[in-house]
Amino acid sequence: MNLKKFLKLGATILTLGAILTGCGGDEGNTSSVKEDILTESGYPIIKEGEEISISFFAPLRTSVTTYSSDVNPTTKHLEELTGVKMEFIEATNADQKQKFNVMMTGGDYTDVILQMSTSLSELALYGQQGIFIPLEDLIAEHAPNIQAALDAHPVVKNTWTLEDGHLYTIPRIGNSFHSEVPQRMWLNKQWLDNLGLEVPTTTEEFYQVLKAFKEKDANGNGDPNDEIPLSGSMAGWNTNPLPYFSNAFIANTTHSGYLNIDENDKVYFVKVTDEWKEFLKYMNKLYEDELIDPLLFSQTSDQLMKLGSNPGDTIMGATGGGSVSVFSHTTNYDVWNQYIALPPLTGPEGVRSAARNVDYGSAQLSITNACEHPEAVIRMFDYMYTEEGLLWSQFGEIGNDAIDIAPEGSLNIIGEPAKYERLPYDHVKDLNWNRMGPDYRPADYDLWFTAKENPAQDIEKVLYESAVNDYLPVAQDPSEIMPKIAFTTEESRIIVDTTTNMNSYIDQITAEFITGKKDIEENWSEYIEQLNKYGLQEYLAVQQAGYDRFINK
Amino acid sequence: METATQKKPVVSKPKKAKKIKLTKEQKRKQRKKMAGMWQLYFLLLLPIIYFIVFNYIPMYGAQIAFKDYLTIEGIWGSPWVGLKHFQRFIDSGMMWTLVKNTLSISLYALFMGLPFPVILALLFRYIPLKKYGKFIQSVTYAPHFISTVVMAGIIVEALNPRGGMIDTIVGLFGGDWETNLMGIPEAFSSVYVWSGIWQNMGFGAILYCAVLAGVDTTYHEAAMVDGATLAQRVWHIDIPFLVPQIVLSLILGMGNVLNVGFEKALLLQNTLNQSKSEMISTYVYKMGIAAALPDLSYTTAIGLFKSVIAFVLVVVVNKIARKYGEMSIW
Repeated sequence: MNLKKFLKLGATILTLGAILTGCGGDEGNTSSVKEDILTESGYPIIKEGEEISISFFAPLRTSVTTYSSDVNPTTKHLEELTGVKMEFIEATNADQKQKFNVMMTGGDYTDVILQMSTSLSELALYGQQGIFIPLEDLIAEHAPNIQAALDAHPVVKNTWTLEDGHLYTIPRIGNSFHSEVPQRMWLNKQWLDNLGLEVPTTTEEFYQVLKAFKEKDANGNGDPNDEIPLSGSMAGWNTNPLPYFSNAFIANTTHSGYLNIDENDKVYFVKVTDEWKEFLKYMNKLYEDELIDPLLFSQTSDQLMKLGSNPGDTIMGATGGGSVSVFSHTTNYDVWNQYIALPPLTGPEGVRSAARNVDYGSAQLSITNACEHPEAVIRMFDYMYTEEGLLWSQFGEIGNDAIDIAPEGSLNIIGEPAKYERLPYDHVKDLNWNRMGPDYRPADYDLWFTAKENPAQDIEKVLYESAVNDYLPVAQDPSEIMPKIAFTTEESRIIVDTTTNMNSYIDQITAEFITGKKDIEENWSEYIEQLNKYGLQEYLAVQQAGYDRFINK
Repeated sequence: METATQKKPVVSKPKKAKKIKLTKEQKRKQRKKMAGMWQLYFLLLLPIIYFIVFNYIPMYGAQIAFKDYLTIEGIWGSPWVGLKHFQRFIDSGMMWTLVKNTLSISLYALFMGLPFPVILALLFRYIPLKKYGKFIQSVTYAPHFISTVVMAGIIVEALNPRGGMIDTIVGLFGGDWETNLMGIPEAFSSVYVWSGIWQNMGFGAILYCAVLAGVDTTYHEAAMVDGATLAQRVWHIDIPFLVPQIVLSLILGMGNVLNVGFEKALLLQNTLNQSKSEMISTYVYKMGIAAALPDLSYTTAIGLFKSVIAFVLVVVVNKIARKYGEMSIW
């Protein structure tokens, strides 16, 4: 084929491509006036004889295999209640983000996005393009329960209201107490007793305990060398033990990206402070004395689970974790009862803090411009902000394998009468939505439920008490934590770019500092320099500008 | 299957076929000849459609590398921004690390991967136990069909210093394997490449087996009559037959050199080895599809940048191969 013909062919193909792809675009703007098929208020939402169908993007949750109304009772209940037909585009937990991104950038998106914990930057990006529609007026008009929850939590409402004054999401509000301080340390109390040791309260005492675990036969099986004093995993529900220790040197939290606010309202990055350096040295000392599991930085959460539930003798001394479920099944009392949630330690300079995950709510529902009946969606999910709706979402129908009415006279974890009884249902699938999408947990949520007869077997009680008595009183002051604020798309790009590059470098070098591959003193200035090269200063400037806007608002 | 054309291993090709201007009459004849073989052209249609749909039409989307892509505006409507995204990549401080990691791993894999299938194919050719030959061959190429996800799982578990395969074997001899290979950045490329060789060696050998089967036995008979040893026969007869195939594999491999098995690299990555395991493809994935804020324009720019490097590599290797090996793809 000669060149001319080749070019001709190429041009034809390109035009063809343009035509084909061009078709996909502008079909979204259907602001319909067909709202007259909806009822005035209450349920059902749809008038008798009418029919509408709404599509939802929804990642699957643990113990849910589908949201389809044929299988899932919660969906069925909602459909019957509202009269709306629900269609789900599902994604697994592992690829939800990718699927969501592809869908949103490709332009062929569903009517409603659920359970994506959308960031403020994403809301701004899609909100400004008009893909996500503003919801504040719809909520005020049609959703009394959502409105009431938002009014009761002004911080949540302000956080998710963007610069342009719009609310592009319905936030999920309210969490258990223990979720606010999720970076716990689990220490083997059995081993302490075996060796006649006290529960450590300072970093130095903790070091001595680990040393004893290492050198002596802590699990009492005759072999002094099979104990792994401290383990964890970088990938798991707060299984990374580093934030627990670093809070004995400087108050910080991973949820703000390690950004703190000082007394002059200046934003600073915790990981370049001298206190952080001291923390790294402490961890390095633990590692040098072989007290830290060498697999800490590379093992998966499954490997940690295997280690924690080692058949036969217990071989793990301590690990980080949001709950015992990261290293043992919650029904496996013999194993996890050996461990206690260790209260925060006091560092060498007297610092004692816990990472606080400030509850700003999370963005779990957005409506796109493809949706013809936004009002129906809002009214539908208003139900999830009632007690009944929350129970349906999280547990399913009362009387199933997950939840029941509390027996007469049963008490909750603080000894008051309880309303419901939670049942262990590890093996049963598809009873509910397992809390997919937005909902509202009022402050007394933890107290709705009965406590287990044997308190030692009640992990919820353990978590509640540890949070309320030990962690929350010393948790970092919210005013020192960089709040969740909205950035422009341009600013967000800088933040995403820098953090992607910076964080993988930090992860790597932190591991090298701790494992002693790089000397902390010697390489500290090089570390800071490298971070600046990745754009730390620009990043901080953007954050500072955002914070200034925030406090002047 | 290649018996007839492969008779003489080293053919001195005419340097450049003279372009012959066809007369009208000749052209007409040619067309008639083509029409007579329409079935063949019809068969050709399928791959052509494939390439148009999957390779040419997507090129239309490559323009977003020079734009700020917005979903609502679409590919065509998004505003042009020139070379902004390329500049951003160059300024990001990641470029050299990524290019270095990508190139070193893929070249390592390419060159290390070349000899093993050849050696395996020769072993199959001369293995005395003909009865078990087929069985052994099946065993060696079976790993090729293990999916990447499973493969990565196997590698991680095998190398686990706590109860992994290596640890268990060393344990049998009373030792204790403590090296965490997955945690050593420098070891990443070797883990990646050698597991790849193990997995694909058998499958790669099939191609060379076919070539060896096509070697005319008279060459070997003549050599044996002249008293050649087995080694001499391999060196002077088999290897020359294999060379064109090896060079071809090399050139084709070069084109894919920057597309190093993306899934495998991603799956084997962890905090500790990231400095050596982050490659262009994994980075594009992280910034584009898996990112907190997807940035298709930026990642398309990086992808385009990668394609340009790959193109240059193919051209260079092709040139070298033509010059020294008298073998090239164009």
